[in-house]
Amino acid sequence: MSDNMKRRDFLKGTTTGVGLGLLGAMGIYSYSPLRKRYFAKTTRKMTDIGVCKSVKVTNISETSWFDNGTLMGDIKGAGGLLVNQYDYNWPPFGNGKELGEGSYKEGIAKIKHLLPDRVDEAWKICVDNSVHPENAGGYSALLDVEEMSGKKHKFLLDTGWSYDWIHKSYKREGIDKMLENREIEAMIISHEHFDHFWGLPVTLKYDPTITLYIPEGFYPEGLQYIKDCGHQGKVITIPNGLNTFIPGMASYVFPVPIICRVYGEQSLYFNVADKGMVSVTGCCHQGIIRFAETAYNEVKYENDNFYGIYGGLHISPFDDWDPKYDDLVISLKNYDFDVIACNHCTGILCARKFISAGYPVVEGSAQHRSKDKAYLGNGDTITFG
Amino acid sequence: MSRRLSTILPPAILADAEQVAMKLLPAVMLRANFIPGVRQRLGWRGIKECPNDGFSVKIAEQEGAFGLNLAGATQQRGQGYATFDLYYFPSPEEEWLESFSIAACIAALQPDYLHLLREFTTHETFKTLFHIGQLNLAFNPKNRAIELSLEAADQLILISADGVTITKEDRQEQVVAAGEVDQDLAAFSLALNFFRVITTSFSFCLKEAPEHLKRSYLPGHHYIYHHDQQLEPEQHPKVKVINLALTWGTDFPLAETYNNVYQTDILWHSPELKPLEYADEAWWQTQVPGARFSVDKNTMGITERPKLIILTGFLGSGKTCFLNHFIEYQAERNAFVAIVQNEIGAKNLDTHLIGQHYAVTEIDEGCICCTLAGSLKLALSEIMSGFQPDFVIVETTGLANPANFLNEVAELEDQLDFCSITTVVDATQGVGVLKKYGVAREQVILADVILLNKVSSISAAELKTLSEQIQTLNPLTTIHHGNYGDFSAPELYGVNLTGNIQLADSLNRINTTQHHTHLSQDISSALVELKSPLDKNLFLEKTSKLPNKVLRIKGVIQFTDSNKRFYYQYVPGSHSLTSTEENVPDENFLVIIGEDIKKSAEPLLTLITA
Repeated sequence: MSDNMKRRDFLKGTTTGVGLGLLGAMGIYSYSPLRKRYFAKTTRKMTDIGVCKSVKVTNISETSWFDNGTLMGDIKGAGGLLVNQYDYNWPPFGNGKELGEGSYKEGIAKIKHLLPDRVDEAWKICVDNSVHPENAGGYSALLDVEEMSGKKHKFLLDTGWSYDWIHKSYKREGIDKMLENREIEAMIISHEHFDHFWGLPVTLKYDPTITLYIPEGFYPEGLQYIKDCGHQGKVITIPNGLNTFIPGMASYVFPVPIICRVYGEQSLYFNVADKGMVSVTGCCHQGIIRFAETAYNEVKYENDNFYGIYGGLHISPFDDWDPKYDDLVISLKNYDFDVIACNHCTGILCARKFISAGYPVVEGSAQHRSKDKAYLGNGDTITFG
Repeated sequence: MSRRLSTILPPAILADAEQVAMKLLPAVMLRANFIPGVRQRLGWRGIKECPNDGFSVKIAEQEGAFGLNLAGATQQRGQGYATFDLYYFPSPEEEWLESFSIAACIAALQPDYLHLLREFTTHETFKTLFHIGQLNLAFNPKNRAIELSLEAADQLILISADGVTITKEDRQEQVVAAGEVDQDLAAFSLALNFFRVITTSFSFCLKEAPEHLKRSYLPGHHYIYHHDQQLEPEQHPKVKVINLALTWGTDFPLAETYNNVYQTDILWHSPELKPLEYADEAWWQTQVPGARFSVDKNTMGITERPKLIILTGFLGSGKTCFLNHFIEYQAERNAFVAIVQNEIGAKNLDTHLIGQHYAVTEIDEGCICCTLAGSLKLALSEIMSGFQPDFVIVETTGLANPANFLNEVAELEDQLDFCSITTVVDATQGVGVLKKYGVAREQVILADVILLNKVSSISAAELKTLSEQIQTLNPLTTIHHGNYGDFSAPELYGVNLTGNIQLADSLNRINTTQHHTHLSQDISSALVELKSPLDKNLFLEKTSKLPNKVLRIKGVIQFTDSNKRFYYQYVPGSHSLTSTEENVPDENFLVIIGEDIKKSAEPLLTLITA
């Protein structure tokens, strides 16, 4: 090779080279004593989480807030996406001061005596003391899981934000009665965010003894809030990784940093007989790719097929180093889901894009303040299996 | 320290030193990237998470992408340690590629390169070719001290024992002789670029500067590889492995276990005078330059003014398509776009809007669309206070009265960052439309950025003709090619939207002192080459007295009082001078755009052509 010729020009169109062998397979060629500290990484095995017959998801509410501009304005005004969510002065932790000057202690002191039984009164106080209470909605879903034996289980995923909105939504779907009758086995909290977790007293009003599953990574305010709401049942913190609830139903806790000083999210995996993997997510802050890859690597599922997905599909806010790649759209194609029911933080634009890309998106009815039929909206249901 | 650390990681992780060692670096990286304004200024240009605890990352300094992958973690005597492998995947066009092995070069030139590197963690033999060093993180839970170190060889040399022969077009050719050097890579200096960004992010997130710096060496090796896949390290007298460590917190040093192996040449403790070689590094700053120098509330790049883009283009050129892509791109990144359509009378406005200067026609996840119902200035003020958008796009089908329009915008200077006039041109119609319609020409003349849409539908020759026509009208504009309105937003409005001012290549060497494109229409542009530096006071005096008919002036100028050169930007009512970067071509010039320039800008023209 002549000296003045660039390698990159000369090597264009070359696909093989004798003597290169498998240079990459020879291992990393830099010696460092610091590397010696570690044992080889263990490869994980696919865990058998069992099989269930079906899972039905009832969307109690996916509208976490009603006006995006208002929410973004609040976040900006309070100091941005790294600010502790308990400091925004959003309901229910309003202390009567300005945006960004809230605190858990001052906020809860105003309503603690009313929780959980008198949530409506408590919310009135919140409305008077907090920033944009009318914008609060919430995310919550009911899961009906049927075992192969025919045994049925009910779980709640998340408990919304606004006491008022979630209370009404619970009544609309009859969740209040189910809780009162102790039909619901447990409440699974996907992550500590306001819109998924702060509506907790409404659930506890009807069943203060309900078992709570929270992901590892909760902050002290969140743990204290569970106590201050008058919870009398078990609180089980699920460590990072896979945790099986019942045959065919497991959660996976991802240790991810999330905006507003939150850390960690758990998403649910169902192995539905004859169909395959069904995923139910809160926001999926870990990103759909990591979520699906984890399922692929760690969980055994029917027919090796990704069957369905329900919930928020949060696009990673970072996947921007090559904007020509549209990871969410591309990867959803790779996983070849048979049924996609998305809402919440997915973004209506994104959901519409799935539809125009020909993906099997289940349309909703756009009622109870859900904005668009591209979302499986409030009050809509979907059954996998 | 402890207070800040708990905003990065939750109590459950902070309780376990090994977990902290593993999770802190990714958490800092992700948290620093949540806010676009801060992310950009810290030097990040994009992160993608990869399977198996990896990230592929772009930074401002390098064209290619870095890869970061957890190699292992452990706990010893109560302290947590983690090591991350660092990779660099050069861009196929980049000079750095030349320093990598033939095998790496071939891999980088394959069509699937981008795809592989985006998921490099799952491609073992591929990623190894691009390994350049490692990052080590040590954490002491007692006082929460953190040490982050970069370790890499100053030269990463690979020798092919048997030589390398490639096959190209069925011919075999030896490209590396037996026993010769296949790769000689300045791995440490390459890796240092990444280390700067990550350590600056640590200082930013911890709100604390490093208190210790240590640089130490190990004797290095070169590596001889054989056809049979054997890799033989051999001590090399000239090669060093460099370890550069920064410590946040008072405890030092953390990674003492191997101190006897390393030879230390710089050891610095605060508050001593910083080591000269590293005195100017950004990692000493706990605040983000440009984002109001502070991380406290209201100033984390959050109070940035919305960026104003004026979007023009002939009917059917693809403005709406472009907007859809733009909004979607911004919405995915939590940015909010306000669009103001300046089409008075196009829609029947509701009567109850009296007293409001705009009508909301659509509001969505990422954007609000409004139609102008009164004064643009008042409408923009109302929209900004009501919706706090990150971008304001004023969309017009024609610039009916550009002078008034730009004047109104100029009055909003303290509330908006004026970014550009962007014009969409339909490549299939371009030549004809530009010939036929004055409005279309004016749009091109006034544009800072031209988006040439539907380029795949025309031939290369047609594209050339059209590009030349555009450059004749507007020698300063940046032309981007695209289809279906799909133009990469970061490319267009990348870093703080300050595009370089540069003459189109074909016009770079114009020798005439004045290049005047006069049209039948009123609006025209003049390119004036500045042969000698100008008197600053005279220049500013003349430009401050320009009539409204002068719509834009931009260019590179130099004054008699200094050697510095400046970008000059003028819109009616406002102008700015900013220092140029070093790589700006030598010529100084100004382009003046406006109505009847010969008359309206006469005093200025006389001054600068003198």
